[in-house]
Amino acid sequence: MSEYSIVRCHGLATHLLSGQVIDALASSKNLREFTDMLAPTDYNKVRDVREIDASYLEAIFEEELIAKYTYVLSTSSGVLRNFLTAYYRRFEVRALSRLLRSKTSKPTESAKKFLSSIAVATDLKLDRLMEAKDVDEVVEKLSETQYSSIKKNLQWYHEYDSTLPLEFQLKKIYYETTFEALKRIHGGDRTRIGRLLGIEIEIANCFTAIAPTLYGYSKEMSKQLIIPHFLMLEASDFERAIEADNIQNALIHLKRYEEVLKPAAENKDECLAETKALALVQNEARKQMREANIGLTYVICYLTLHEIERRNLTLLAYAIQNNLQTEGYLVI
Amino acid sequence: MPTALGAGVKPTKGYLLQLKARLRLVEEGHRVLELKRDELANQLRINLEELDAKRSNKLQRIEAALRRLALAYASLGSNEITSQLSSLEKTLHLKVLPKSVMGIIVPYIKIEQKTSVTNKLGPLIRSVADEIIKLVEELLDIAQLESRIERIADDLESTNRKVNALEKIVIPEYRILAKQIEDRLDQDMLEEFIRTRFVRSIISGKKTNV
Repeated sequence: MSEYSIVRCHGLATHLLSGQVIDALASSKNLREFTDMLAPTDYNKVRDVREIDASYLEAIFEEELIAKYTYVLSTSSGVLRNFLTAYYRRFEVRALSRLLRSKTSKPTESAKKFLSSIAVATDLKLDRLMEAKDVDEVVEKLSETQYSSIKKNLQWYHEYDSTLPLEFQLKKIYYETTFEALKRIHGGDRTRIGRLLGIEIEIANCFTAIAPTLYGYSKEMSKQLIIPHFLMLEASDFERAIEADNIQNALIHLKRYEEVLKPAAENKDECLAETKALALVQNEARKQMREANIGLTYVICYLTLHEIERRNLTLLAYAIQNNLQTEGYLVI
Repeated sequence: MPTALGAGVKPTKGYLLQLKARLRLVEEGHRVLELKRDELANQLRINLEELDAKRSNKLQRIEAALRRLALAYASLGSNEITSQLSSLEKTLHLKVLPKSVMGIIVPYIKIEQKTSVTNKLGPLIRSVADEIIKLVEELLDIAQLESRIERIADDLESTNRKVNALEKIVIPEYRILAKQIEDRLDQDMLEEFIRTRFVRSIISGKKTNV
């Protein structure tokens, strides 16, 4: 029955906004014009927004992305369903990260809202987690779930007074379970999806590896944050980049991602670096969609492109609201 | 005809001595205030130069930081940014204390707790958060300096007014008054002398007739 999901994704992919549409949206003079242009698309909920504000639009784009993920999941079965269930947990991990952060200070509504929005795709007892009074209690409660290994990073949280070690442990668990589910997918799809995920992980690892030289982060902690999955770079490359005494030396070890990291390293323009990173993922996804258009890869690539579309639209909404130039910051 | 003196002014030697002592005191006060005024003007100049140096490029830096923050907001979305920032336990705590500079009470900002983003935030907002924290601290420093300049300028204005009042009104008036009393006393003395001579001539005329 995976074929049905693939066929549906072919249909859904035609709904993805093209580069020209994104360009046209970018030229909107105000949010009203922006929403008018979006109204005939899948984002027709923007019509219902009374007071147009970028944060409302952001919520709509996020809702639409989750709705698409949920829909694709509902059309799937067998190994694809298993894999998508694991893949979908990226939202769960994101929500748990937000929850952990909120527990360090005061509970934020956004964590609660986001947790509720992903409730359909999680078997976690979210209410219990939300009731936890601090990070330790959340970790304690998570130790009864598939995220039990998060507990081993609790000492790092206390040592560095930062939730990053816990957040990255959640990511490690996520990728571990996703790759485990990927093993059940056979043939070229496994390699292709593995490659797409691999690029995503390596980009995250690259940003972690330059943090000590660029932002003064602890080298010890940064080593702990490296997600142990390597595609084009070796674990030793990341270690050497972390140990480097300056950013130029760090980039030598991350040569393959130098173009992505350059804006952050040279001009501290992390947004441009992120745009370049997403462009890399987008190019890979498009390439694989062309090469494996009747495989499971197509489904994952479609979801990846949808995620990039959400990011583009969110960026545009805020940029139009704040009168910002988006040239170079859109992934087209 | 003798000059009219103000009410309460006694044309006596004792009063003149008192007045002269008071004039000396006022002149001494004027000299001290002049020194204070010069020192305040000097302090004001130094502080203005310091402010100018501290302000240079600040606007461009603030503009660039806000643009980067807006871009980070746009890239991550407000929920994610708010969530990441909520992980910062330590927020900026400061106290505004009074501090005396040449007798002028100026505010002194004491930072009790700084916000640190090291080891805490995701890649997209690390450097911009760091930059904004640095800018906030620098802006506090500028605000402190501006407030000090304002207070010094206020005090300089009032000191200058006092100096001018002493120089142009009080001291000349005291001097004129002292001069008037001296003239009056001289006139009184001359009158007394003439009267004495007149009485003496009458007495000596009577003696001759007898």
